[in-house]
Order: sequence, then structure tokens, then C-alpha cells
Amino acid sequence: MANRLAQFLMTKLGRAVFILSSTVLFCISILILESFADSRQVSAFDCSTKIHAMTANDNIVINTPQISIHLSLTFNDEKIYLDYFSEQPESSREHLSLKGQLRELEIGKLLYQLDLDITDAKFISDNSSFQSYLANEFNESKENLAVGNQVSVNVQVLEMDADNGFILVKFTPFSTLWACQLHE
Amino acid sequence: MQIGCCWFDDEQKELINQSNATKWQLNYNEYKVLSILAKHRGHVVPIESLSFPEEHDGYLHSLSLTEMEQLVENFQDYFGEAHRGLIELIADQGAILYSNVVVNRTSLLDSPTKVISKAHYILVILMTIIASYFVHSNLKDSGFRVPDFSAEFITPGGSLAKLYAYESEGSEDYHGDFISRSENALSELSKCDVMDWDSLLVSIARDNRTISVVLKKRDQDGLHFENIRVIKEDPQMTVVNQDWLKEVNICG
Repeated sequence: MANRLAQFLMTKLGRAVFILSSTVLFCISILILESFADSRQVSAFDCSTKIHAMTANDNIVINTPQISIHLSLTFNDEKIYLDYFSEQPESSREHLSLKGQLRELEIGKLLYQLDLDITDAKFISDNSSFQSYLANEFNESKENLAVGNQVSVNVQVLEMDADNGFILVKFTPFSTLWACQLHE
Repeated sequence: MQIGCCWFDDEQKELINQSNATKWQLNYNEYKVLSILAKHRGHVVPIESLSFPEEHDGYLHSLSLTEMEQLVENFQDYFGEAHRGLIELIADQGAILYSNVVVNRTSLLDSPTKVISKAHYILVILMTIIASYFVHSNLKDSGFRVPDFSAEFITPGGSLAKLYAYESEGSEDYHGDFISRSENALSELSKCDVMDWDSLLVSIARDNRTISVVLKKRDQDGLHFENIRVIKEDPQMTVVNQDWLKEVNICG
């Protein structure tokens, strides 16, 4: 059998079949691997952080607690939803909603590259600290945080404890840590 | 004529394997083919040239490729395992009877340059390079990111906790300053009377003004954690002191 195969591969037709089938198999393997990698999803989670603004007055450091920020990452119909909102009564609550998809997953780094469109935004004033914080987090100007604009952000998983519903992620390039509660 | 360990008796149309004293009576086709190959020993004889008058009707008869493959397999069996390489069918060329045993070049496990063409060899190398690049591009800098600074500390109250600090990627702040600030934070944390947390994870953002702090503790109820974001007016401002640590609930 092996001899017959070897004999066949020595013929012109055999060589052509070998090259063609090898190329097709190789390309299919690469495509399957790429597709598998890019179809992995980030786990859905909720997080919340307290904000402390530190200012200096006559060499005295003043700590001013700010309104907490909540973050929620969810999925629906293969879309990723990122929602930020401030901890305020409904009427004065600031928020930023984004919808998008996973552009690429760097498996080695567990880094999810997200392309997101801003679908909703509400800031109470032009000098909103909530807006300033998010502008930094997305590495964008405050003016760009408007409905219809697109932003990109990377989410890197640093630690995960599924049994306790815990995930620690880092948003880059700004480099902020979020310890979050995984969804069931 | 001696062929390997076999004696080819041209008159009796026999092939005698002297190593195991086995005698093979050759049929008409076997005898004719072996006679022709023996006359051109060491040279490839085209299959078209291996034609001879039919035994019964005298018409010129050409052997098909299948018939030749069968004949060559028969001869290889007659010659025995040690000398089966003496006869070989070469695709698209013909058949050859070697003077000496040669390495069987039809094995797929032989050296690649003998079995496959240079084009195949280059193709395999190219595919290997592309596959290596693909694997490398997806797995470079693999693994969880490890903290740039980590240390354990014990508070005066006897609590043991860990501090992990991540330096910002692309920060203009230099590494020495980052270590100095981390050591300063560690020093202040070590002075806490009560430390309820098992570990503190700190990351300095790219603007050098925003600091993320994650507090973690594990008890019988499970894992508890808290996020704190510190936004400094001035990057050089030192904020970690005992009052502040108590104010933000890091120290008890």
C-alpha cells in the first residue's frame, strides 16, 4: 500500500494531487484555528468601583470621594454590550452604552480586542468627572464619547476564579484594573 | 547468471534462491522479462521495450503497467528480503535490474530529498514557516501577566497580606520611580493596625494620575473583593498614608 502510494506520488498527477491537497488541508487547518480562536467569548460580568479624587491645597492632600461607577459586560446575539453608569438616582444618572464585537483574541495573553460603537450616552455637564474618567479609559477625547462614534479597547484577563464568580480584568491601553462578579 | 542470492538458469527457465534452496519455475512472461532486464542490467528498460511474441499465438504482446507491477512484486519475493531492492519499477520510465542491492527509494520514510522533489521539499518548508509564524503570532508573550512588583507584609496586629503592583504599559514614568512608589506603599501598609484583606492589587494607569486598587479577601463565605479608583491631581502627589488607608477602608 505504502509502495503504491509512493509510486503514485512520483507521477506528475501524484505530485499535483499532493501539492493541491496539502495546500487545501493547510489552509483549512489555519482557517479552523483562526475561527476557533476568534469565536471565544469574554465571560459576562458586573463590576463597581469607588472613585476618590485627590487634590492638594497648601501641601495638604484632600481626599474627595466621588460617585461610584458601575460597569457591566454582557452578550446578546453574538454582540458584546458594555454599559457604564454612575451610582445616582435615575433622573441624574450618567451613562455610556457601547455595542460591538470581538475583533481578535490573543490566546497567549488572554487579551480580547473589542471594537465598540457608542449607542447611548448621557453626561450631566461638560466637565463631568464620569465623562473624563471614561475618556481616559477608552483613550479618547471627551468630545469623541458621543453616540455613533467608534472606540476600541482591549480587555485582558489577569485572574479568574469561576467557582467564586470572580474575574480580574485589565483595560488597556489605559491600564485600569476591574475586579468583577461573573454572571452565572 | 547470478542475481543477488539467486541463480538464473536461462536454459531451464528457473530461478534458484541459494540462500534457502528454493527453486522457482518461471512462467513465460517472467522468463522473458527477466531475460530482457538481465541483458540491460543497471539500465532502465522502458515498459514498451518489454514486449515479446506471445507464447501461443506468436503475436507481439506488450505488458500493461499492472502486469509489470505484478511481475516486479513476484521477482522481489523470489529474490528474498535482503535482495528485493535489486529490481524496481520506476514510474513513467520503466523497470530496472540493478547489479547491486540499492536502497529502496520507494519508501515514504526515506530521506526527503530522495522521495520528494525539490518543489515538494520547498513547499513543506514554506508551510512549516507559515505555521510557525501563525503559532508564534498567537502565543507570543503567552501566559497571565505577572505583577511588576510583589511583596508580602505583616502588620503589627499579625495579619499577613500581599501587595501586587502592575506598571503601566507605555508609561513615561521610569521603572525606578514605580518601584520606589510601590515600596513606599508597602511601608505604609505594613503599619496598618488591622488589615482585613488578604491581597491588594494595584495598577498605575498610563496618565500616571489614575491608580486602580483591587482588595481581595477569602473567608468561609467565599471570596470578597472591592475596587477603588484614585485620581490624583498631580502625578507626583503622594497619597498613601495611614489616614488615607483608613479612610478608604484598606486598613481597619
